[in-house]
Amino acid sequence: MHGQFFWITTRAAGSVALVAASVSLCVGLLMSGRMIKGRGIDLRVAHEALSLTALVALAIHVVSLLADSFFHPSLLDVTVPFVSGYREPWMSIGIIGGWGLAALGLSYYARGMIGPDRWRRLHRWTAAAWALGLVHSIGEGTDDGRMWFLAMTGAVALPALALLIQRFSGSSQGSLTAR
Amino acid sequence: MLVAMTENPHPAIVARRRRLHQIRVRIAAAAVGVFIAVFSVIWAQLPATASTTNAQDSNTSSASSDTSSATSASSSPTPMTTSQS
Repeated sequence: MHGQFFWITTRAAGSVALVAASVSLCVGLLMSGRMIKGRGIDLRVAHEALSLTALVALAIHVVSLLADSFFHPSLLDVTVPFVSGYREPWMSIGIIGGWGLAALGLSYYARGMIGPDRWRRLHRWTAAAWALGLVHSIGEGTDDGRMWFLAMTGAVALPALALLIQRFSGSSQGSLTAR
Repeated sequence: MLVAMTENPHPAIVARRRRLHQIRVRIAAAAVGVFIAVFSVIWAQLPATASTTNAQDSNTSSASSDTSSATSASSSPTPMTTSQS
């Protein structure tokens, strides 16, 4: 049961990371699309807190996987793409997405160094990193097909996808050019 | 003057700080809640596999103690971690 504990922890933490990143993406898109007026500071704080929650959950997802006695991966297996050989390419997609989320998310704290405009352009790629995480969670297939997983993923990923499509389809062209 | 300002910030600033702190706390609490809920659901689904496996293991061991030639295909125990697909 000891090994099962870490295996369940990694799955639960992965789910929390997916939910937090999806909701954070929604909040970020609502902010940048200026769809909610007058709650700018609240949305920004919520966006930041959700992003940090996603990164903490992602760290737990990886660390508890290292402790799993059945899979028993090395540090390289879970941090470097295409090293593990376990359920490829889904594992590597998840690793790339995870690094992307961490780098692009934490770049917020270095935006003074990067430059605000360059940082904004860079930050848009967070959506791509999130999409890789979504593909990883569905493709890896551990909980895929279970009703709770499909309901939870659908509830957070579909609104995020809808907002992304709206953002890039040109309906928010005014706000895109403004930013 | 500066000390006085930091000691007694404007009530609006205090209220805003409190509101923002509440947002952070609620998000952290919600994340812990989601984690516990997902963990519980996966854990609850586990005993069915584990008990089946244990029953299978005990049947296998009793069969092998009764007869010396336990060669049926079902004698190979299913690993506990088959849920790790």
